[in-house]
Amino acid sequence: MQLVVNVVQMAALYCLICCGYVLIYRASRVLNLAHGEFMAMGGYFLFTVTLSLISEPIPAFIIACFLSLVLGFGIYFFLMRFMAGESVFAAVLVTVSLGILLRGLMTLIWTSQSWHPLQNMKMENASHQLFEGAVISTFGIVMVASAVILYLALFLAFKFTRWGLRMRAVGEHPLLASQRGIGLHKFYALSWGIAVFSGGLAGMIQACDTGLEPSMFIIGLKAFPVVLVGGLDSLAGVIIGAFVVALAEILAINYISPQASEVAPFAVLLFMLLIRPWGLFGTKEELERV
Amino acid sequence: MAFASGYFKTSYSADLALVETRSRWVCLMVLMVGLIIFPFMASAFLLDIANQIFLAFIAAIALMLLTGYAGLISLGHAGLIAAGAFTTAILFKEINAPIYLTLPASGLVGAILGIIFGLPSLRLKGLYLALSTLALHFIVIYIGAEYESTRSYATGVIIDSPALGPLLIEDPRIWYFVFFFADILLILFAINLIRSRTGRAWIAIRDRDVAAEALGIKVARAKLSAFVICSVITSIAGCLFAYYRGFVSVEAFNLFMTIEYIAMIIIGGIGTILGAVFGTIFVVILPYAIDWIVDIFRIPTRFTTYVFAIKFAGFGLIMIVFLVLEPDGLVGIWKRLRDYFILWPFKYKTLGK
Amino acid sequence: MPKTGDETLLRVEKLEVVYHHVSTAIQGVSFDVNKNQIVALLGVNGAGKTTTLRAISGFLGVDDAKVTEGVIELSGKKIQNQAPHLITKKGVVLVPERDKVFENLTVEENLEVCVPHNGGKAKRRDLMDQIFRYFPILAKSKNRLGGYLSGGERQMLALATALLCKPKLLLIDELSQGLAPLIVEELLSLIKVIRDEQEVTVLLVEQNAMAALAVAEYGYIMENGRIVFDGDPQRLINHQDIQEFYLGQGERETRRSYRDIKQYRRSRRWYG
Repeated sequence: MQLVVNVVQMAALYCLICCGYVLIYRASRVLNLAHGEFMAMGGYFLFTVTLSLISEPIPAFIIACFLSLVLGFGIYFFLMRFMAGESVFAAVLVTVSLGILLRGLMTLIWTSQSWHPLQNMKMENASHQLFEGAVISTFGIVMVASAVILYLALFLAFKFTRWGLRMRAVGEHPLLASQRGIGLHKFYALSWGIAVFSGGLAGMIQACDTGLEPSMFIIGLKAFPVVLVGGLDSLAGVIIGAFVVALAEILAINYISPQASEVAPFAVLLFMLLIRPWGLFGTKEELERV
Repeated sequence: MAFASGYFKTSYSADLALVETRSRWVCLMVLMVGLIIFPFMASAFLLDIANQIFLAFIAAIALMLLTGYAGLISLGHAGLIAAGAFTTAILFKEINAPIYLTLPASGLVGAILGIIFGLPSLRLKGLYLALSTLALHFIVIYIGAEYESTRSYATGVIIDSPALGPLLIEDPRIWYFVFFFADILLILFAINLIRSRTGRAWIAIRDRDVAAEALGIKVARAKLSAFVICSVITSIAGCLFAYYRGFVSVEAFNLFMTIEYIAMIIIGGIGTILGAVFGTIFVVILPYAIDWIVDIFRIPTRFTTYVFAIKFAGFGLIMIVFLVLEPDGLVGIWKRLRDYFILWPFKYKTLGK
Repeated sequence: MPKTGDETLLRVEKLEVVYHHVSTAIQGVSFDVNKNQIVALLGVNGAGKTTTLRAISGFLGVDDAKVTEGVIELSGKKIQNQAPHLITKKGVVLVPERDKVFENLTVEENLEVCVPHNGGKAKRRDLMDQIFRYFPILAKSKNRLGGYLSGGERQMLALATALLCKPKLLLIDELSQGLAPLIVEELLSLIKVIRDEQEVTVLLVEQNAMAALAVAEYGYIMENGRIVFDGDPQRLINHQDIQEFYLGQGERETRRSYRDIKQYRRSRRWYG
């Protein structure tokens, strides 16, 4: 039973992270390889806020989320905007370089030791009893809840609001959208903002749950198999993919070895590539043009 | 290639020649002589840097062929180098294999990995190959780590220097010539590959793969060949890497290494051999340059812990600048400079490369 | 020249567009379009018609092209080299040649996506009603995905979405491409009706000269990036060269031999 709880929590983490991958991919057909670093940035934002501004958890979270949102807009406005017309290859490489830059900056500003924002907030990550003797930590619950709320909000927005409709149109045919009067930069910036926000949120919650370490960005890389399993441009696919990969990872930790948790997602990725590369819910047309 | 005026090719052999004019031959000879004398005149420190550059060049040119000519992204370069290194280490430790065995074995392992991880993503977009190679990286690292822990080489595997017959390749100067020779072989191989049918197929695929398929080029096979050739060369580089260092451990092969190689071909200029040369030199020398700057400005030692982070950040920043502002890399800058002087006082822009 | 005394909506003068800094696509192109007129821009593939449309609607940057000389004026204000969505806001709307609809959105969603310019739900609903009157088929297939529509339906949807942007100037690229002749006729006469009722000015780019000249009030012929001939439809149709090059009515009654074709080719081009 504990196994199930662990899988659900890990899946929620992956859902929060991968929402960002899908949004950015839909907007600009780019795989944002710096997402792991954005996630870590969220954690560091929270840490700094709790250290120097407010140590009440809820306001601190809100401020840190806001900072992540601003970071996302900023990255688009100051960097990715210029790559809008260039080849996908170049844009992906820019995200790689951005990741390295961020990693260097993070080590410069916050050094490479582990921090615990939780201590600043004077909170404890209490364990709660669930059924059949399974436990989950407070922030585990927060993680799952956030993922659920975020996804519900996104689904409703995409399906029923005009902004969501325009976002879908921009993702599908940016040129045609522009010809119909939709300002592309607005929606790209929004995609990046929400993406970095959700990644940052994942980072913050994870930092409270297990501590803030510079090696956190690896989780971002492990999240790639999730989007591949689900389909690079499908939010619904992320949910399924997250569960599949989380299951593989938890099973690997329990039955093989803790190191195997790093490899398990990639084994899943390879398997998916062999049998159904466009993922469970991705659009097959994505494969056509290289 | 821009010429001031008056240079015309009048025979087939002139068209096929690798070096075009006599003055270029002269420059090339001077360069060769300089490179041959270098190890006898340089300090050990400079010699080590030169060796690093030459060694890195092998893997860099493999990646350049894959990315610049075939247009495929690979994020598993460090994994391939690790595969070659670990094959060497395992064969050495288990059966005390000589270099005659480990070198081809590394190549073979590279080929097998290339086929396994290349096959699934052949018909797909480049991004899928990128993900597939990412998986390659992590899986190879995992296997390496498992080997280290099961054989309790917690800090890494130590390897003896290789011997080619009576000659023990241990002295840095001997390594220099080994690498030098390997590099020249590789450059000749690359130039001829690009001119061959395979190379042209790759360029066709990179530009318009649908049209290439319509012309009868088997796109899937060409892509696979590109990836396999790249992985074979890279694994062999890994084998040499293991021998040169004398030491193989998993920690050395992280994603940063992959990114270093990608940086080499980007900063140098995608799609040219000269670009790979410039890029390799730039990337290998950059950390030393940053160290030197830190020295010159007498930054106190307590900041040295930050130097690593500065190297990281500086690296990323430079890559971004090159990607956004100068997509042709150092070669682009070099060409513009050279064209300016060659074409002076005319100022027209040349078409294409 | 177009009807005198009418207000000029679009004025293009000595336009030059260069691709990739090296190849000139169009040069010295000058023409006028008056308000509420239907003007046709004719010519074969590669003449530069699409480039002209792209220059007017601002979508050159996509192909690394630029307007290097000349002006494009909309009601007297210069619009060349401006951001495309700003040009759309000024009332210049393009119906492109390819990728005219959003394929993964339903017809209804396609129609909703456009940005309304002078708000007001009532006005928008009126406009929608009018559009459904012009294109009854769209009303029937509201929930069909754009990608599953037939060629003619897609063209109608594209026109409808363009109209929803309340254009002053409608640029239509290759309306007739890939459509059956009957549908082309139907669409072109619809365009005349729309022009009359909605007071839009239309610039038609067409390879099908016959069909275009049936509705247009003025026509320009482009070749190799320049305008080589213009006039009202009567003048164009009666001109011998036009008949031979674009309307397929050759002079020769007997079969041509290859010896004659070389001659034929040489006289075919005005420029180069």
